[in-house]
Order: sequence, then C-alpha cells, then structure tokens
Amino acid sequence: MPGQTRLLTYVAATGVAGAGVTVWVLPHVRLVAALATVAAVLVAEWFSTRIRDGVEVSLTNIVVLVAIMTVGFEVAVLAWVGVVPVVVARASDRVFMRVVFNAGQCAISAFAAGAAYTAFLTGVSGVFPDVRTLAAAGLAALAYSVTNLALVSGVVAVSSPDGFLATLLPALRLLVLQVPYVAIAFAAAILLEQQPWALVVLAVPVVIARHAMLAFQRLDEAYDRLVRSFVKTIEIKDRYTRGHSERVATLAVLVAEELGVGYEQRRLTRYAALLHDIGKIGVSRCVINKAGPLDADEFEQMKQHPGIGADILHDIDFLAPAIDIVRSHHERLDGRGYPDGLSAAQLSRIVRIVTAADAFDAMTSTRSYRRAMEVAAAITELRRCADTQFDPQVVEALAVVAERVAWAPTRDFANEATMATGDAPSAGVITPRDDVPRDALR
Amino acid sequence: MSVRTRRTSWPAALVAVLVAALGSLWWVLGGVGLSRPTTGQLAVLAVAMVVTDPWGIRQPGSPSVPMSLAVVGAGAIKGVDPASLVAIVVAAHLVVSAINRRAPSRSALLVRVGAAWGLAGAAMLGSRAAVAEWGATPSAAGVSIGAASLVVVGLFVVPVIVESLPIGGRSPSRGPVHAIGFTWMVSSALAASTMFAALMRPSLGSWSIVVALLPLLAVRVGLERLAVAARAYEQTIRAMSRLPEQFGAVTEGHGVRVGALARQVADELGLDSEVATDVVRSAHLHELGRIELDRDAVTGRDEVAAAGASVIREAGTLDRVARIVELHGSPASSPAALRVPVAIIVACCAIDRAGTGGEPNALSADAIGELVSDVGVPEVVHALSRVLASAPVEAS
Repeated sequence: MPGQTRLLTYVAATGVAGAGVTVWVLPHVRLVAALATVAAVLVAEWFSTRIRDGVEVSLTNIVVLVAIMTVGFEVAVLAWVGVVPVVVARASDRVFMRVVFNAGQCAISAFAAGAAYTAFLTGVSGVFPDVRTLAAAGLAALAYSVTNLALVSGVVAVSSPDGFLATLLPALRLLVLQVPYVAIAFAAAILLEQQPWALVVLAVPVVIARHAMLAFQRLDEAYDRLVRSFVKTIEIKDRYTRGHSERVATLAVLVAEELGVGYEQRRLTRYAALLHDIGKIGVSRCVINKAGPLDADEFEQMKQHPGIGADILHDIDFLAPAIDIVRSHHERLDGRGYPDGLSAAQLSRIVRIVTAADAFDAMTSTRSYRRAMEVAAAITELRRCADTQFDPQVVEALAVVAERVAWAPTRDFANEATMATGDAPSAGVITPRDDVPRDALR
Repeated sequence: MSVRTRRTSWPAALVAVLVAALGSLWWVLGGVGLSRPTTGQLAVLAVAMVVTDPWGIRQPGSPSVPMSLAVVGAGAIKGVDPASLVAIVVAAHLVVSAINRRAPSRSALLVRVGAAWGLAGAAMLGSRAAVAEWGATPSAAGVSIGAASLVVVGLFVVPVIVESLPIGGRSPSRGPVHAIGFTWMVSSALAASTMFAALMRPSLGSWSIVVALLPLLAVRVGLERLAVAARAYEQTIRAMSRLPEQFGAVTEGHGVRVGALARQVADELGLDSEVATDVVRSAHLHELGRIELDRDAVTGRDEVAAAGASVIREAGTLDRVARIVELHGSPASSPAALRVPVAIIVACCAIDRAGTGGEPNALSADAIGELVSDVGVPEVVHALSRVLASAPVEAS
C-alpha cells in the first residue's frame, strides 16, 4: 500500500474509533460538566508548552483525569472538542487530517484512561477521594499516555521511515513526567469537590513549573546561539574549515540518533562536536592553512589543539562530560591517537561518534591541501580504518545517515583553493606518507 | 542606570530574630492552638523529611533551600510543637548526612532548625488569631486558615533570609528586599505545597504530604534545569575570555581577573543585578575582538572594541554587552546610561594591565587622578580604589 494511502487509512481508522466511543458515551454526558471540561481543555491546549524539539507539554491530561474522577469518564471522552479549535488555529497544512487524527486519538486515549480507572476502582472497591483512587488515577494516567503515544507512534510509522517501536520506546521514557501530573490532577479533583477556591493554590506550582520550562527553553536557545557565534568567529578566519564544526555537530547528532543515544547525551554530543576544534585558536594560522604536509614541528603544534580546547572549557560545569570528548577527538581505537594515546576501552561512544563525524566531514570538504572526496569514497575510507581508528558500529551508522540525508561534499572553496598542480593529493585518512597526512590531523 | 544605596543585612537579621521568637510563643501561649499529631503522623513527617532533605530548590543566581521546608510547613500546620519539629528536622538531616557519608553542615542545620522553630510558632499564633477572630475550630478540619496563612508568610521569609544573611560563611550578594526577586518562585512553590498538603489532609491523611510534594518536584526539576543553564551561560562567557590568551594577545587570566574586579566594583557601586551581570560579561569579553583581527598587526583599543562588539552581537541576546564592549574603546562617547559600566571596564582593564602587585591602597592620589582623566567617571575610580584597598587584586 503506498505511503499516502496507508496514512489516510490510519487517520480515518483513528477518527472512526474516536467517533465510535463518542457516540457510545454521549447519552451519559451531563451538559454543564461537558462544557466546563471542554473549556478547560481548550485553555490547557492553548497554553501548551514546547519544551524541546518534538516534545510539547500540555495540561490536557490533567483536565481529563480530573473529569474522570469528578464527573465521569464519559465527559472526559469529549475533551477532543476542546482540542480541535487549537489544532485548526495552529495547523499549517492538512488541517482536516490533523483534526480527525487529534480528535480521534484524544477520544480513544480518554476512553482508555476512563476504562482503566473504573475497572481498577471497581476491583478494589475504592471510593473517591480515598487513597485507592490515587492509585486508580495513576493507572488512568498511564493508560492515557500509553494509548496517546502508541497512536502518535503509529502515525509516524505509517508516514515516515521510522518504525513504530523506534518512535514509541524513546517516548515512553517521558512517562515519568506524568507522576507530578497525577498528583496535581488528584488534588485538583479533591479541591474541586470540596473547596473549589483552593484551586488557585494548586495553580501556583503548575504556573511556576511552566514559567521555568519556558525560561529554560529561551535560555537554552540563547546558549546555543552563544556557542555557535563563538565557534563561527574562530572558524571564519580559516576559510577551508568554515562551517566544519556546525557540519560535524549536525552529523554527530544524527549518528547518535541512529545509534539510539538518549536526548541528554545527544545534546552533549552536539556541544562537544561544535566545540571540538576550539583549541585551534591556539595554533598558528600558518599551520592550519598550510597548503601541504606539515613538518614535525608543525605537527607537534597541531597536536596541542585538543588539549588547548579542553583547557578553555575546563570550568564550564555543564560541559564537563564534553571536555573529554574535545580532548579525545583525535584518539584512535588502536591507541595510536593523540594527545593521550588512549585505548579503545577508554573511549566513550560519544567520542567515537564525534571522531568519525569529524573525519568524515574533513574528507568530504575541500581543504587547502586537497579537494573534497566523494561521500562513497569517504565511507569506504572510514570502513577501511574501522577497528583501528574508528568504531565499526559508528561507521556503519554514519553510512546509513549519510545516505538517508543525502550528505553532499562541501566544495565551497574548490575554485579558490591553492592547489597549484591541479592534481591535489587524495584525501586518505591514514595513508602512510613521508610527511604527516593532513586528514589524520583534521 | 539605577544606583541604589549600599545594602545592609540588618532587616534580615531582625526578621530572623522575630521568626525564632515566634516558636517560643508556643509555650507562652499554652501551645494548644492546633490538634496534636499522632506518633504515626510524626513518623510519616520524619520519613518525608528524610526523603526531601537532600533536595534543594533554587532560582537561578540564588542559593538553594531544602525542599523539606514544605514538609516542615505541613508539620507546623498539622500542629507539631516547635521542639518536636526541630527534633524531627535535626534527626532527618543527621540521617541524610550519615547516608551520604559526610559531616552534617552547621549552616544547613541552622536554616532547618530556624525554619522549624519559627514556622511552628507561626502556625500556632495564626490558629489562635483565627479562633479569636472567627471563633473557628481549627482542629475540626485539621487546618486553620490563620495557621496556614502565617506559615505561608514564614515560607516567604525563610528563603529571603537564606539569600540575604551571611549563613555558613557565604557572603550575601544582595539585601533582603532585593532578594525577594530571586526567591519568590521558590517561596511560592513551597507555600503552595504546604497549603496543598493541609487542604488535602481531611481526605488523604498522611498521604497528603506525598501528593503535595509531587508538584513541588516538578517545580524543582524545572527550576534546576533553568539554574544549570543560567550557570552554563555565564561560565561559557568566562571561558571565552580565555580565547585571546591562547595566542598571546593578552596575559593569562586577564579577562577573568578583570571580570572579578568589575563584579566587586559593580557591587561597591550598588548597580542593579542585571546591569552588574552585563558589566561582568563585558569585562570577560572586552578583548574578544582580538580573535577577529590579524594577530601580527598592531591594533588600537577602538579596533579591538569594535571587532569584539561585532562578535558578541552575533550571539543575538547580548546587545547591551556588545555596546559596552564597543564603547570601552572610546569611553568619552558613552551615553549617560552606559557611562558607569563602560568606565568600570576601562578602569579595571587598566588596573589589571598595570599589575598593581596586589598591595592594599595600591592607587595613589596621582594614580587616581590619572585614571579619572582616562575613565571620566570619578565615582567608578573611587569605588575601584576602595575595592583595591579592601581586597587587592592578584598580580597579573
């Protein structure tokens, strides 16, 4: 079945299932309670917070849980009515399809949560608001989130190359975020029944947590710009390596993703890759831009740059794990790298990723001493050096990524390059030569 | 540019004494304001304190306060007397210290004991006031609005005291009123959690503390991430001050030293914290332009300043810093709003380049006169002189 047809079928099935549960609960719904729930969902959705790429936090699940506990899960199923206007307002394309899917998955998730809550409470003979309802609310939150994530993973799986489990499993790790929500929902339900005015008290930690998340998001973006601007400034004087750190960072993060590295480690990978060559500020520009092999003294100078970079960054607490990566990005699995000659066992996976990405970008970019290699040739070279210089698993992941994103060589400076003879040396990574091969230095 | 008078910590000290006095009133007034908790409830409180004691909660730029304050507040509203609350708090802190295999911190204990003592007294006093005013029966619902209100006030006061008193040898960086801006989120979250626990107690009993702490945990996670990011931002700017050193453009540690000196001068002048932060950032980055310029060329201060400003502007969010760095190349052209920050950078840079040798009173009358003519803002030079006299800079 073609991809578009599969997507349409999946969305239609979700929409029909959502409509089915809606029709089923409709006779049991109290109008005022439903209107209040829909209004609350509308507000919650409108003020949803994007905390990072692809992860959005909304308080809709709290509203759904409160509705389940106080006015019955039939009302909670109608939460989708509050979701639809926000989807319509924010969707940039395929609005109808998005509305159908979001409404359907919201109704199904709320139904699953309600069913879990009711079944558990019936089983343990609990009555709201005793402590057994807290456990039931936890189970309902779990059912809501798992159903929601499974349906979203399904739509990703039918519309992209990413598999269902590859999407679902990382998302399930975020379930821990639901724990405070359950407590907030439970407390809100109790207060709603007993002292509605006190809901203001409950709003305080919610508002502060949201404020902190938004402030963090802004600061994180500012930090990203700060680091990138400094790296760019350092690279700008060296025309052949201009943009190298950005490309290595992009590639390293993609490879880390391919290898299933978690979000925090990917974030670290990005900064380590962006900053890996910052120590070159301490190396003479004549050496960096030299059109030809380096002599022994120049090579010794060049070998200082990982250590200089680590020294510059040494007291940034947040980057502490990245400092080893900056220092070790010229180490090799066989222990013949520099500056410390570390063994394979001492090289973390992130170091291996940055090392391979760095070498790959160096080979596929035009430098002062040679033209850029083709991507396929660079991959072949990496494979040839796997086990001695590079991690084979990382090399294969990099090959997959390079093909998937159609990585292209960087030849911006090919015409300007001072390659006098026109038959510049090939870009072998470790080809033995009389002089020091430049790509071994990168 | 807003300049305030030099801060003093006596208002915070006075508040600390008042809070401590509140606990003593428990016995003076009979200590019957609230229902006495059972042994089981005290045990739950103790466990909750052990669990929350190691977790600090803080806003960026301020010290953390223990999350267990919310448990202390809940205990106070529950009717635990000051001595029992202090005993539980101390026991919990000792247990946590033993688990972590480190000596208990005297300053941390001081904060906890003071908070427990004061909050218990505040709860008792508040409940009595409620009874007197409304004839309420606080024990019937397990919580009185009066008790909770005064505990909430107390929870706003404790972080301010931590922020503004020299506890544990830490020098307070701001006065009590100014400190509120750096503690209000933590105080509000602690107060809301305490109220929350009290409000749910009739339905959930001791479980109310667990449920109330979970939203606080979400706040803590959010604020901690924010604080770590804010710290990383400043540390990265300081690290970038070392870039020109790598090729010998300036002496080693010049940017960091100028930054430290500029911070002291900004504090001495009582600059707003936002302005002071930008002054320190500018001090760290004032030589950054050298990485853009030809290393072998002889360059003037104005060229370095202009190049540095253009690099800093690339960061997108440091416009005032870029402007200060730019103007430090030609301080005479500074607008009124930036005269003081620019003068601080020029003066501190000059002092570090001169290398005062770290001797107190290093600035002679002649040197002051010379600096005033260079910098153009006498109060900055005099503040710098006072800073140097009290805490000499390290030799460059």
